[in-house]
Amino acid sequence: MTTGVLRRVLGKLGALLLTLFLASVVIYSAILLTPGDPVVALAGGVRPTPELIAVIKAEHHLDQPVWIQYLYWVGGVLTGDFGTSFVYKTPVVDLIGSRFGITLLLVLYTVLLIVVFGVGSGILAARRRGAAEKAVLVGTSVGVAMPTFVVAILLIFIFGRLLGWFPVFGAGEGLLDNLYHLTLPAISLSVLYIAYVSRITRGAIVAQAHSEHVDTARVRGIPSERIFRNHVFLNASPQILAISGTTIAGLFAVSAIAEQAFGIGGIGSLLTEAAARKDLPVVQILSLLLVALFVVLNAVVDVVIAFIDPDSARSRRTA
Amino acid sequence: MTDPVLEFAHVSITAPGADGPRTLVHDCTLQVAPGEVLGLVGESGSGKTMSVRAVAGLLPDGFTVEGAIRIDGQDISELPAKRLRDIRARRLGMVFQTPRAHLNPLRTIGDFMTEALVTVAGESADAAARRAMELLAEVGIPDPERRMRQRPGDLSGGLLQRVMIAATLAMDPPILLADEITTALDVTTQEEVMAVLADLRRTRQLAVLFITHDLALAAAVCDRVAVMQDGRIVETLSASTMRADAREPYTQRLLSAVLPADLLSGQTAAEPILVVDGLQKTFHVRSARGGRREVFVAVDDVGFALAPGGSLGIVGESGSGKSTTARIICGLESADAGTVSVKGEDWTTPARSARGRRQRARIAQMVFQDPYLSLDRRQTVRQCLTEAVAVHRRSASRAELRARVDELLASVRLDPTLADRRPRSLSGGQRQRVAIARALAADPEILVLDEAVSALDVTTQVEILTLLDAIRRDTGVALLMISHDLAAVRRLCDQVVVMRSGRIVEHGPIADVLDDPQAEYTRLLLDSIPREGWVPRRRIPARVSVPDDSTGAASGSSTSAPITALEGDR
Repeated sequence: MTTGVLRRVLGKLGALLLTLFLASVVIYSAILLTPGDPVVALAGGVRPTPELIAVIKAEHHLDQPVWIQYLYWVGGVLTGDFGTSFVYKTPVVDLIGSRFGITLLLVLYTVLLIVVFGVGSGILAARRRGAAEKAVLVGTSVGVAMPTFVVAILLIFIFGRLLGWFPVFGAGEGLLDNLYHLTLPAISLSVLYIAYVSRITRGAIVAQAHSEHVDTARVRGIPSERIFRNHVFLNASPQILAISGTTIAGLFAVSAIAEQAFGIGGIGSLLTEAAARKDLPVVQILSLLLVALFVVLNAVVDVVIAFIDPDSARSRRTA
Repeated sequence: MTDPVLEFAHVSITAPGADGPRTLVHDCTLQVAPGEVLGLVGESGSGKTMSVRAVAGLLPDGFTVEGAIRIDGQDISELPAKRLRDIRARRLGMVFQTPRAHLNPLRTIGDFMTEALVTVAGESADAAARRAMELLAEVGIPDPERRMRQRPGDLSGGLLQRVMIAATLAMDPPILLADEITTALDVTTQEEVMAVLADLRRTRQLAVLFITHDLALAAAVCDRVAVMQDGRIVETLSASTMRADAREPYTQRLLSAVLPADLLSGQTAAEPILVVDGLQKTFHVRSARGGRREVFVAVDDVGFALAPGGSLGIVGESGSGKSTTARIICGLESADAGTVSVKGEDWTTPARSARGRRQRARIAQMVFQDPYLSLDRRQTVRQCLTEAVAVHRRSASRAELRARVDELLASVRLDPTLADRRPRSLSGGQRQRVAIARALAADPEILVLDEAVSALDVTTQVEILTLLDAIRRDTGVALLMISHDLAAVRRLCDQVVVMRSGRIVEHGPIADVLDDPQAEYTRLLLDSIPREGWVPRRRIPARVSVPDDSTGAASGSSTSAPITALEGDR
């Protein structure tokens, strides 16, 4: 491993911790901005007696200054104590734990669709002139203009109502049934991103295919499949990866739309629900989790890019 | 002579275009024998590069080739695609102008060197690596083992060009296509690369097709030189007797562009490209004291001629009318009387139509004093140059545009890594190089430099002047330099016109005028040049009126400011 890559990994790690710290501060301060007294929420909506208020405040450290409250919270998070839901009165970790699996499955399913169809159609459009290219370009133009909820409604109507091929509610039991249930949600989530990734892929490949070092390879008689693999796609991949990384990292949050539309009990729908019911401990931990997933995935992508293109890690030299 | 290994028989190359196909190469016939270096010379856009790209199979999509290109006597258009790829891989080597762009930046030198050996020749990875190191050593790369592990970003341009040459030799091809291989390198590196090439040609009996726009270089390294103009080979000459044998005016023009200035004066037989005669321009200006408007004669009966590929300086102080003269020539101002003719055409009145202006822009381009003002600060260097190229080559593909922009960057010796910067993050000298490259985008025949180096510091000035001189020698563009700086004019120009108050006071070859000035005013200007032992003296500024003169001293007939007033101070 070159020092460039190592330095990049360490730098990323530092930036990642800093981002998480700042995110935790912002997320915690959001409490101060939420309307209503958390004590009332903690008391279960009833008007609490002064004694009860004192008990609740002491239990949740609400009688301490805000920054101490924050330290208690962060300390809890770091030691695995994610707090207790105001609404369900169960540990947040259990709430999220029971729902995370299905969201993860949905996101992975969606990623698979995006990579296969997005990158695949991008490659197709870049390599085949004519009808295939046009079809992909038209398809992606339509795709980027389709919001997830619109796609979801269309899919429910066509495949659920008219054709009855796929279930439109719930997540099912067992892995295969899960996948069967998640097909429409995954498609509805992926359409926009397939179109997006397809366009980026095509653009990156076309740009690389016209670069001069590809001319060199052609003169040298390198077989065209190898040219595509080692000189065109390899060189286009950092750009494709960078875009795909951000997209995939964002999917955990965006999945809420599909989960709502298809009645799936994942973390996306948990977040919407908790936010609506002012279940602060759940909202805080979920927000922190989403931020963490986003930055970690992006950091991983950056490291992969640094392996492909070590020079990108160095400050640009003037030759 | 042995049988040629590479042969063109009546080859024409046609490009598709929005307004119908364009033929870039017409009926080109040439042969290269083993051990021979054939130079293919001509200005940029003359079709040299397309010719070699046709051999290498690198023509852009839609280009068609007529006639026969033969490798080892075999017409390549008759070969099946797979066989042709194999022949190209084994029989041809090609080295390009910009080695950095032509190597995959993400793969190591070792990958690059061994790739063809493994995938085409089917050697084992170990054998290929050993061979690659031998080849790197053969082209004089120190420590090949370490270099094999590095990526192109770790090597200098000169080393990369050697890597390119070494890699082409991997398959031991009998033919080497060299497309402007030293243009992007500085002179000392160029010398090294050429020495490597000369050795290889001797030891391996390489047949080299050597493309260059540099006739001096071609004369030095080639056996024969084919001169290409507008896609046609106008004549083929023996390199050693090129000067004596050249019959075609185009060749003579190219040759005259490389000749030192002192030899040039003997050969002014060529028709002038620019003739200015009896030029007159009057401005109506408001008097400094208010009141009636006055007539200010900016240019009064000015006439001179500029030879193709020549260089003429117009010197004088501000207000002498030199800039107005330049602006009239470029159509930015109209003359009241007199004529401007360029290549026999009347240019006295500015072109009205966009088409007319574009046509003239293809012949004459202007570089201004302050590149920061004349460049769009929101455009990157590449955007700016691409736009300039696109204006003149409207049917060019993106790849062609890019190639041309790279060529322009190389021609002004601007580091390609600066191409994505905006003017703000460039130095003054770099900005002026961009401005010059933009002017060159049109492939002009006349470059008008309006105080183009005056705003630069002295060392940058010297760099830019040297660059302009090299560009003139390379491209044969004629320079019309407007300056108040006699030293700068002396560096660049063969001929000089000294102007004062709108009139020409002296005119002639630079050496005559500056070494033996006849006019008092010229002597005064010369005295004011800083030099060794020079003591700056204060002088009364020449009394000339400029339109916005606010001192009030310029009222009345300002054009007759007496020269004796200046002498009185000495």
